[in-house]
Amino acid sequence: MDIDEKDMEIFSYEGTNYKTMLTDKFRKHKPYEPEDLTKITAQIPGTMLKILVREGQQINPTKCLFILEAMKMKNKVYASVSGRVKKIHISEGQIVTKNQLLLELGEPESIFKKLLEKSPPKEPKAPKEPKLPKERKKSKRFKRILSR
Amino acid sequence: MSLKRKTQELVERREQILQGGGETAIKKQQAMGKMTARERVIGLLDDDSFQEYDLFAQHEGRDFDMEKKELPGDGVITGTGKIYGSPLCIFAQDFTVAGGSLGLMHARKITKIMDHALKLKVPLIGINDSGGARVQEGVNSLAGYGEIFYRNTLASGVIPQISVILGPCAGGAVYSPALTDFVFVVDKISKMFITGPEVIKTVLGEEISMEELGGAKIHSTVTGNAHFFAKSEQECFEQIKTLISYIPWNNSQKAKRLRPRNPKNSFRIDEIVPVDPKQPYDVRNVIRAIADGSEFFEIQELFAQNLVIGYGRMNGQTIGFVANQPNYLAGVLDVDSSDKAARFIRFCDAFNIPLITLVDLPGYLPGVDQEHAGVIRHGAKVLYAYSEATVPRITVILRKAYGGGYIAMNSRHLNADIVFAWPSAEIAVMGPEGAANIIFRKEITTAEDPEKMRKQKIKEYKDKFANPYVAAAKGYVDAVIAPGETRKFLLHALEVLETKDVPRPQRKHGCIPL
Repeated sequence: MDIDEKDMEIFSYEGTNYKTMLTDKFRKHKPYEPEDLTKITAQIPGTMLKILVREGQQINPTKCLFILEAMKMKNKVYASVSGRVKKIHISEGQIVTKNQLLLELGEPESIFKKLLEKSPPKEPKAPKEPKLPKERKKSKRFKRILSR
Repeated sequence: MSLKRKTQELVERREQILQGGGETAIKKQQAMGKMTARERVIGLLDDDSFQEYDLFAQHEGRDFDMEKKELPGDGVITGTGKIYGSPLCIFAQDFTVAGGSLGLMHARKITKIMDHALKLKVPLIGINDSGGARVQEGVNSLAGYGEIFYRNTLASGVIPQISVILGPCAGGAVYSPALTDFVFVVDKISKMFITGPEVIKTVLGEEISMEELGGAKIHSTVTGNAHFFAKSEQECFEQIKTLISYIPWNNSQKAKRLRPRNPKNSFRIDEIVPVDPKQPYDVRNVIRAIADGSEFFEIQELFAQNLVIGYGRMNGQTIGFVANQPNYLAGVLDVDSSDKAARFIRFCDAFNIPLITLVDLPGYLPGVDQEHAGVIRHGAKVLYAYSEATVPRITVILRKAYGGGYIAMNSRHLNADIVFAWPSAEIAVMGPEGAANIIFRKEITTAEDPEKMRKQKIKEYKDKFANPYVAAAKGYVDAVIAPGETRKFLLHALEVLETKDVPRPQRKHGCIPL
């Protein structure tokens, strides 16, 4: 009663295969993709007012990369990791759409890279850098737009 | 002026106002497929039961030439009436008058009827159809909204509050329905959102239609903001009437008791649930097989379908049913179904409606999106809601009851009053397959034929633990009952629990994880 065999699918749970229907929400859920912190994208659409870095420049999370005008505000854009600017994909005055790639960083430096690769403790530690990004990482985990 | 002429003047004044926004505006309303506010109030309430208040209210706008405008009733109809003889308070925003926009007097009329409902301790029905704040009245209209929200909150858990969305309900205005207990929506007519498509487009560059953003379907299936979905206003009114028949007037009363009836013979309880826990079935049929007249009034039918909630009756008394639905996702608990269950349990507890929980679930839904959406916090609501509830709480474990899911579904450990289990119940930490893989990992991997060993160990585990008797031996299950005996046991349990009285420690309120 009320069961249409053709709607039934296999739903595997802890090694058991249940025959059941899937809800729309479950069907639509996207597989998880880890966030790539070396790619800086626009979180809101707007106009690129100023580019404050150049390719090849070494930057860290305290360095303002862009001024993006959106929602009548001049928003400062920062990276959340340190690294060398590999490529800038935007020029001043250009209209930016949401999620548009703005800048790519080279290999992330120090702490973050170590965390990612779980490198052995033998590797020489960079003497000064570790502390600052570590603290920053806690409070400002994501790429963010600060507005003033 | 003689009294007769004065009375004549009253009749004329009344007639003038009863036309609402006038012929053109009414035609526009009809062209949108909508009834007028007055038609709605009359259509919903018992015949001739509506008594209107504040018919002659005048709006407070004094700027932007508003003082020259006449707004009949200031765009809202308020009063008292009855549904199936039960008294209640009602307001209906009139879109034909200044787009149903909310100004100071409009809000005053609503808050007045809300205060009235709280004083009389009767349910409140709000019909929303409004363009939003009346911009010309500025901060006064914001004040109006705030005063409504405040009363919604004070009335919560004291009187049932019902919101009917029959038009736009946007911006801050949606928070009044959000604070109420039940939200009714009608396909293609209801629209609810905080920021509309225009704002979303300018700020985020995302394009979406009003219907896709906050139409009736979306709120019934995706967001869970709506509890009842109807195809027409007429169907919506029938749903409201049915709901009113199931719930009490206020928190110091019980729902009206009807004449007890037996379930229909067509629902054969011992044929509904397959013994194999991997096979699906519609748990609503189990509810129908035990409820009076096989009637089950489902709430949030289209949202988080892996869990079923709704009202039925047993021995004429309203019962809140909560059941895992093996037909969807094997009946798992997840973020949405936890919210759905917890909110329903708390409403039932607030309004003296006993709870019957039917258990058949493998556990919580795994997934990164679930974890990141806070399934810990949301799942905790179910534990909280059950543990806190002082109404009679009865559980029937139909089949699989594994792990944390078993604990959450009104288990003995959360102080359920009575826990029954069918002989098909499997109360265990996890399903036999998963458990065998962990317990006998060594034996399986080192065996000559691992697959054969796995099967053997699964069977071993199944024989030993996949039954209700292990839990029954420890007193975690009060009685193992045959499916056919379920109604008899439930009726008896409900009867003995009638006098249940559980004192709780004095406190302002608990801190439910929201």
